[in-house]
Amino acid sequence: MRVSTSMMYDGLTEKLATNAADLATLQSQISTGRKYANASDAPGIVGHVQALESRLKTLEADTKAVSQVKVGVESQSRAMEVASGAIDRLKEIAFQGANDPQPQAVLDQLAEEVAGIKRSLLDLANTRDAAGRYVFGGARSGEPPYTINPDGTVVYSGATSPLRVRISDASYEDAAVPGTQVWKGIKRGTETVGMFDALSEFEQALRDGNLSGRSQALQDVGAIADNLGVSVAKTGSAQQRLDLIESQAQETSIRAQSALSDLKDLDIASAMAQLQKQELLMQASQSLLGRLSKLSLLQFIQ
Amino acid sequence: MVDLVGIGVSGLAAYQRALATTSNNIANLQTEGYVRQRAVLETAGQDNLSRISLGNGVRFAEIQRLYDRFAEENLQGATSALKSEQSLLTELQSLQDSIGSSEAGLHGAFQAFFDSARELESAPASPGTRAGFLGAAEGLSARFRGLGDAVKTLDGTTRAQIEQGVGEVNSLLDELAQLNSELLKRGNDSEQPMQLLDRRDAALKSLSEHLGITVQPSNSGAVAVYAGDSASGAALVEKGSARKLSVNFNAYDYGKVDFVLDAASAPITLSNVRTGTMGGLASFRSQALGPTADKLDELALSFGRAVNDIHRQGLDSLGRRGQDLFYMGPDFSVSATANAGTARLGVEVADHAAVKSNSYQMSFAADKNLWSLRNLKTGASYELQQDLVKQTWAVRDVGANKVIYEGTALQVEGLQLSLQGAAKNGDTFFITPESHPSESFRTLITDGAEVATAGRMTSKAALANDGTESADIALTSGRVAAYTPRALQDLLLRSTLPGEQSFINTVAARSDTEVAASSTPIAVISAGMRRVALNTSAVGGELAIFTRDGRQISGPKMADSVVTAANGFFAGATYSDTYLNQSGASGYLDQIFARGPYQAAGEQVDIDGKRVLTPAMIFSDAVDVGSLPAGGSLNLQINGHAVTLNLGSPVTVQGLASQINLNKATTGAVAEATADGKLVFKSYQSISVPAAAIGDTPKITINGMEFSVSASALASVNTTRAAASLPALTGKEYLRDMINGSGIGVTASIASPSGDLQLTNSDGNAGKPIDIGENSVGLEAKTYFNNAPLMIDVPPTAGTDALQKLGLRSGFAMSEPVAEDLLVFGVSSQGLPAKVYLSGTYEQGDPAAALAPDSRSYTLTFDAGRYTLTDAATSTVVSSGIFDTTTRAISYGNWTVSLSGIPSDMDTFTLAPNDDPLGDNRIAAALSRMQSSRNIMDSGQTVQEEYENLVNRVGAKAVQAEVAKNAQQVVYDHAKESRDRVAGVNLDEELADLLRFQQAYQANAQVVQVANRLFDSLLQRL
Repeated sequence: MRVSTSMMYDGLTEKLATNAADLATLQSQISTGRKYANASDAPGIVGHVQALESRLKTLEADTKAVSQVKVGVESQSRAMEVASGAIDRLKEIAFQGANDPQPQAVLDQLAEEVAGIKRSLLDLANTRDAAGRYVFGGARSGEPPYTINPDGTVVYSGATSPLRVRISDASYEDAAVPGTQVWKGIKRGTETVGMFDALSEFEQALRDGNLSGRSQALQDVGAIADNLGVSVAKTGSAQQRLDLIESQAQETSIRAQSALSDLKDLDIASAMAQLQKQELLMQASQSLLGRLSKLSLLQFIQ
Repeated sequence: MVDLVGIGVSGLAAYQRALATTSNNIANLQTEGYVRQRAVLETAGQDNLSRISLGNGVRFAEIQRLYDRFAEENLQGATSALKSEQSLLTELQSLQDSIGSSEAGLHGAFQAFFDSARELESAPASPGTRAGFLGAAEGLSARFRGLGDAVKTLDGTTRAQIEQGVGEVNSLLDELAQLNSELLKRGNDSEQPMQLLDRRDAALKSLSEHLGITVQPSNSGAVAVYAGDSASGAALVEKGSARKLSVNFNAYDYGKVDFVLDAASAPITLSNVRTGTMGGLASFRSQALGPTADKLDELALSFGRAVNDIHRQGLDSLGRRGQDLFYMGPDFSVSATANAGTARLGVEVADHAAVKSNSYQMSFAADKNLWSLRNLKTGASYELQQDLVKQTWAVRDVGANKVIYEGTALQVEGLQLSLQGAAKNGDTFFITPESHPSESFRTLITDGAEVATAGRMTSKAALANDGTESADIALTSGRVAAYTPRALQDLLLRSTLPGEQSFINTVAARSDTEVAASSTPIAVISAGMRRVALNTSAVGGELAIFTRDGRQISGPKMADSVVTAANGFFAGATYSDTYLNQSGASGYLDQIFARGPYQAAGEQVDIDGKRVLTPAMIFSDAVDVGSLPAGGSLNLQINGHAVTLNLGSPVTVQGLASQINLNKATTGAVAEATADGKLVFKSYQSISVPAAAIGDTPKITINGMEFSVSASALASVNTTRAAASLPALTGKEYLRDMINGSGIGVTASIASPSGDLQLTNSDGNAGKPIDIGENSVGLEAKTYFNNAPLMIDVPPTAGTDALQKLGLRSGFAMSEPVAEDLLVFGVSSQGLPAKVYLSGTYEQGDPAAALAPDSRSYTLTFDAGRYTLTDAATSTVVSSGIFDTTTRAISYGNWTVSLSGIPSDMDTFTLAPNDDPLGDNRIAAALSRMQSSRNIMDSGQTVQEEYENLVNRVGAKAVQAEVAKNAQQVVYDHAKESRDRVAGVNLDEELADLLRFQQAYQANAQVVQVANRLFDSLLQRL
């Protein structure tokens, strides 16, 4: 077979250039610790890497949302805890007040105490969390949900729907709940009476010395305590769920990180071995070119 | 004796030339296109003696050019293929680096946007998160613009490369044409100077780098060159002439590249430029750059629209409705070339959801007086025609053979076109998008307070509620019913453009659509339609109208069982006839409905092209006086007022008209009898001048005529009257008489007991506008026009036969839009399915008008497992039914309320527009949920997946191109090797030849010397 001179040289120089380029790629990989520098160096995996990076960011956002919600739920839970204490005292007062006969002075004293507890429950119902949200205002979390009128009646102006925050792909938790679900109305037969209204009635019954009102209050306070008990349990389970979601997010995040690292990060040991091989190849090609130039017929006919 | 010297000299000469040939080969070692040459020697004849023959030496026969046509063409093909893949790969890599990079790509920006929406969701009231959200939105916008620019830059660089390539191709083609002319001077290629052939081959090889060619050589060595891989079509070069190549790009559609030959004289489009650098670049543009730009635009438009749709549903922190968050364009520009007419075209985007960023061509056909509009990308074509009388436009979809739009503004594919001036036949406009949506993507809102995080409606539970459940109200894009009948516009529209329209006041033009008897609705009146007037023909058949919640509004009472999901009612709807055939305060949502004809007042263009106000008019068919009981009575409702017509004996049309006119003050309508026994109903114009404002010397200009009462004129009239023993007139009475005697079409009368002066249309002038000019009676100087619509109905409990007797059609009419769909059934007067003949008119209104369901308040109550939803302002029960304990959701109009539990009896919720939007996060939540929404993109993927796919697709193309390039490299190397094997110069070989020829030369010299010595020795012996 005839081989033209330029074919020999062209082929060899081309191979030299390829070797040099491969060497440069390896060097840049080792110096950055990444498998690729530009997207075009790894066209097949760039899309996957971006998806994983987004997933990681989403998980970060999940964790952030969980902690945001936690702030609200913890405030709820603390407020309810304090309220439970106050309601225990109310129970004692109701029990005491239901006894008859009682001197009016004692009843008045009890009435004052009920009024005080009512006020502090109202304050609790207007609890604000660290993020500035009224946690019992529902979706209307920007303003105090409960206001007291000059005549002593209490009005709820919060929302009926909760301030619901997404904490993972598909699960939601309420950072602020509608106050009407916690400071619930009390059933008296078929009729429902607002909690604060019932307390006002209790206070009034004490002041009036009204016995049937006082014994009604004994039932009412029991119902209030039961309602609150349910809410406390609900909040507790919400806290558990939040913890679970948080640890789940962390675990998924670790797995995503390792998958991302597999795609992006360089295995330095094997890259170093590769580098040595490439250098050897380069040297071999170079020496080949040297030899080739000596192989001319000219060398012999001089 | 053989001439030894001669033989020696022949050898010397031959090897000298052979040496020259070898030297030439060595010298041209690196010359591009050079083909190795070889000296061919042959014996120089012989002397034939008696028994032996002796050679006469050697002769230099020729220099052979070691040319292998097959190898050469193979190499050209391989060069084209390799260059194509190389250029494709290089450009794909640049594109991949732009869209695939974490810093410049969209993926991360989308993520940042959604992350900030999440933060907004958990702290909607915080100014910090609001600002952060806007920052992320602007970041995303900037990323869109950056990518748009990157794509545009690639467009620019590849365009420049192709243009430069075209320039080089043209000079190569010229060179080849010149070489051809030289070559054609000799008949055979063996006689051709070899340099010419080498130059030809070099030019062909260079040409094949730019584009794939097929070469057809002639005997002379001149070549015909064709683009592509067969010698067909127009030749680039043939004999001594070359065609001029040029390239056309579309400024907007990057994927489109047209190579054209002889663009200036007889253009031929080359469809087969597939390989070579230009082929590679063209396929990069059509397969990667164009689709990428399209996908980016689709992402920009779909995502921007989806965000805007959600954001507009919300309320900002100050309670204002959310505005568009993003602007995506497209903006259009209009260009025209050498139009003969004076028509000018304006283009605006009317519907951002429907507009496409495509180019259009619009041209005028004078013979049919219509414009045709073609979408140059999709090929969709439309005919646009203006009704000069009504001043409305109709748009016909040519492909679907259907009129798709009628209205005063000309709208098509989301564009609003406005034409001014007169067009001449063939006038053409080009509508081109100015920039890609990805390039013009920007954030419109800069103030964090304007971020709409809150839902538009809220729910409030009554304090006395049992309290176990919460209600969450959300705007939805609308409930979906299991079945949607044909749209009213489809039922009424024809496949032809205007000319004839079924208007009530043009009886002759009425054309009925026959609709077969059906137990399902025959049509749906879409939310937002207004001025709907549907008429059935007298042959029988009536219309029953329902809301999708089962409220029957109009028509013969139907059975409860008609309310089923299969009939287009919402799931759970129940039948109600509370509002059946009621209108006004007792009607559905206090709206005005009628079962008879309806006509709105309008504007028309008179014969001089002037716009005039026209009163509403209803024309009856011939009145069937025979069917009306003489001396009896007929009950009607005109414009919502009950009217009893006492029929005379005999019954006459004139008598009917005067009975109707008795009520004109309350109904605002009059009737006139025509000579052919028909009735014409018209609006009645009445202007009241308060008695106190008139005084003794009133002055007023009516319909251009001035009436002035001066004290002296009044005195002189009263003197005359006193002489005739008539009572004296007051100034007011004198004014009345002057007006009534003037014949200006206005009747004046004095009301009793108020004493007010009433100015009304005189007989025969009903409904006409009255011009009031300068006056002393406190009236505003203007044209008074009764622009109230006319509506004729029958009392709620009566049948519609009274209308038929008066020659009027029954049907269904409504004036203001109801913001919900209405179902239309074709029924008999007993409410059973029946065939109907239908005609009608309607107008498209704004569905977000005052009656929009989300701007009203409602009360939702529960009792015994049923719910009742009442519109608070009108006390209309808009929906009621059994509460679905599984979905726990109740919807009306465009909102849905979901309850967290099952409500107790008597629980009440108030659903109302949101008045405290600051801490509400529902819209922010909807924005963050978009991250996983699969409804934004047509493909059913999330925006991030869609973008990922784009990156992967371009990546896969790059991988493919790399593989193809490597494969082509092998093919190319092989082709080059094959060619070089024959035509390439090997230095060693040439050196060996050099030695050989040198030795042969020396030996031949020796022969001459030997001959010389022989001759010398001979001489010495002698």
